[in-house]
Amino acid sequence: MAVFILRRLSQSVVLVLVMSMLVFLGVFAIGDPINTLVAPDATEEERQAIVVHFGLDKPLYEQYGRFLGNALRGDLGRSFKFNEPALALIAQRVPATLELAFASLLLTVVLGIPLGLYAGFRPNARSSRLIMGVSAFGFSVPAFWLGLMMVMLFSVFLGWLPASGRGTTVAILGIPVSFLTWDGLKHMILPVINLAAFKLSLIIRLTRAGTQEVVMSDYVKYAKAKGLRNGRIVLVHVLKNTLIPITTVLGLEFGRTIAFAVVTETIFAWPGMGKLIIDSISVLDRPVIVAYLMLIVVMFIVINLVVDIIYSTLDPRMRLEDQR
Amino acid sequence: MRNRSSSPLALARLLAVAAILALSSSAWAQTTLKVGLATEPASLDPQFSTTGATQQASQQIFETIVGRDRFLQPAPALALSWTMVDPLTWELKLRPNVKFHDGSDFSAADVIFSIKRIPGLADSPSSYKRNVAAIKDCVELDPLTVRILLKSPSPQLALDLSFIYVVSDKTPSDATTDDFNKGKYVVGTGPFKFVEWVRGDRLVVERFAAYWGRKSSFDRVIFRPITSDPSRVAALLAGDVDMIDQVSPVDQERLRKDTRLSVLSMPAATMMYIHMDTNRDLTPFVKAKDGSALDKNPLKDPRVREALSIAINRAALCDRILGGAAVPAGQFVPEGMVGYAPDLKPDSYDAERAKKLLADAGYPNGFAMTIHGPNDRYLNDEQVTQTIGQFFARIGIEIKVQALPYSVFSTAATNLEYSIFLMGFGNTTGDSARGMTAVLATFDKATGNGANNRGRYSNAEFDRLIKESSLATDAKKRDLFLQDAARVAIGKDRGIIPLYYQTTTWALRKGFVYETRMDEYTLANYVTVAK
Repeated sequence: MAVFILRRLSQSVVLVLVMSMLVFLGVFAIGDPINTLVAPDATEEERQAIVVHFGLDKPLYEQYGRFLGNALRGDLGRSFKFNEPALALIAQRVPATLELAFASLLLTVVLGIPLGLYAGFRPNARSSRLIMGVSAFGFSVPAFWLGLMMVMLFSVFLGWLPASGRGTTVAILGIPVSFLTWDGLKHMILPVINLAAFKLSLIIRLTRAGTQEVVMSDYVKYAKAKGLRNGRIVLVHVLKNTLIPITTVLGLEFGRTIAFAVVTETIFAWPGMGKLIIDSISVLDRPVIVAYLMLIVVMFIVINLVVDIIYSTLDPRMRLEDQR
Repeated sequence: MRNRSSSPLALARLLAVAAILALSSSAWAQTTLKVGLATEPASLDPQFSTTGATQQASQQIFETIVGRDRFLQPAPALALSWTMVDPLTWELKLRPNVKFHDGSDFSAADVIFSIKRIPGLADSPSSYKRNVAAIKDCVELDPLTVRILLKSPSPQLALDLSFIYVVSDKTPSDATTDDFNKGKYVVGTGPFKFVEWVRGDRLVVERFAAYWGRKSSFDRVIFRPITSDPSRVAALLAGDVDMIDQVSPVDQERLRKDTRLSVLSMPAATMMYIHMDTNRDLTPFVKAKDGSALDKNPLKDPRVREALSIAINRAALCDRILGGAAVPAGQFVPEGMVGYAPDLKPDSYDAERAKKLLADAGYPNGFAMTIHGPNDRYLNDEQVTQTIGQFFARIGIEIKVQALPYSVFSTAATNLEYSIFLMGFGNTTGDSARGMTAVLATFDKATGNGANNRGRYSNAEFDRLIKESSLATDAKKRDLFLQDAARVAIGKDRGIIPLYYQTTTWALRKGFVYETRMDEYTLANYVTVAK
């Protein structure tokens, strides 16, 4: 296992390097940040001073070299727009996004897997059909539409829940969190549902499909014939064998939630990373874009590693090897 | 010389105030104003960035030396008067008995410190340096009188000083933007004291009891950045906030019908215009209808430009495409600003005469061109570009429309890659000098004139008038020079085609009133509760 992790990590270094090059090139190709950053009536002299100050007059390879050198020392550059370290700006926003992402992951697992199991065991029951119908809805409705509809219904017409924002936060170890106050929880309900809707539907469908397949297998029939209790059959034999694809999908979806929660964050004015990255892209704040994408790359590498390790504990037959 | 309270005394006073506050707040509920804004400041350092979003925040907490009224004209603020002693010397009389939020007195030293601090802030992409560029030195004559020495005569000094936010001279010279963003040194003389800022979530301020001017109707104001238009409206409808800014045309109609709300509009300083390549003999995006190259650039011909201008039905554009959130423009600035020429009316729509002008210019059958525009920068910019394309098609021009994100669009436009495109300019200075110098003056890298002249219009007569206006020390003469300049570059030459001024719209819960402004800012001090 240690060898596997070490090898994986060394491969990851190459991957991060290649990605940094691609990201840098891509951001470079979009456009010149000077036009969006500098006041529209700046004189040429002012413009030039800023170009030199941000190092934008240097050739691409030199800018990249400098970025790489600084990155090795843990410095991913300073935001053009805010004049603060890019990493610090992102770090300020991470807790808000993670809070939403974990809450929606929790909702997905706690609701999705049992509902999927149920629907898989009793595919013809009316309740199962209802579950599948609702999940098809959650699957196909775009997040921005669902979000706005929920706001219209629960905030504007019924007035039960706040329309946007994070509400009252409490600091734990200096990190502000919403879920410990009633006001904060109320603010979380709609965004969490909005963020979880797609994943929840996906997990219900995956679990149901997996369950239906496993139920037909010989070992489940054998277990039934042996007279095992239903609960044991479900938890040990069925669930464990359906969990492998679910873990993969959950891992990837979790990464996606963190990286691309932007729609939900924008609708609910949730002060997370997604809003920061969209704002940064629109003004071409290069250091923030690059730092953000690099963080996301690293995050996905870590998530995939964790998923692989979970596999091996779920299914001892799986060995930690790299596919070649 | 300066009277600053010693710390034990200040502490005692603070405790007394705290005790009174604690008593009073338990007796009466605090009044809080919640504002949903489309933008968020880049920094709380009021001298860091000239962007509107940042100035809007600075205006709540800090004050400028010279103020700006709702029509962006200079008005007394921290300086009561500014007089020219000779062309290179000005004298400012400061307002007496003004306090900073920390209790210390405001005086000449703070003004001088604030002016001198600006050139040292190197990291800002949109710095206030230009506003202090003409200043050679400042001298304190007495605690309430400052003498400003200039490098060259500057009739714009009062205007420039209306962009200098005054910080306390106790601010350390090495104070960074980070320090300000964490709330350190955010000590101004403005109507509100800083409480906290959580980026992306809220900026909280509270009323400054010792403010010299009109005191706020609210104890506390919370500004929340809600960038998405429908979400901002939803927050207002749900009662999360009391007022919002930048209501989109789509929402305006609906909100106006809602009896629980009031909707307020104001023509804003942003002028939208069509810019054309009026300089090169061959231009990339204009061709003959069969796709072959033309032997000359039709946009160089003023008759063609006039034809394009009168082909546009501005009233319909403002009404239908912008939902009434715009008023037709015939020059750079709206009425009320310096440089507005009363005789320059918006071109009226006349497709027949446009066709005739095209024929006179040698294009009886028109030509083919591509018009470019941004799709994420201005109010309904993509639809506006498309509509204008259709107006041009009606006079026989074969038109293609391409809308791009502003970041991509502006890079290409600055590199002169387009032939004709939609652009906007914010006249934040309350006069036409800055905009016309940037957009229409002959491009000159050395002087910085024509920095936004992406069509490279050039007219010696216009350049002369602009120069005269910048040297005129008499305000009336300056105004007349600017008016003449507008008559030449827009009225006669149509170096650009002005389209409309955007209006800014606010929506408030019934019972709240806001004194609207041309600079689009939402200043909490001008929000009141109707009795």
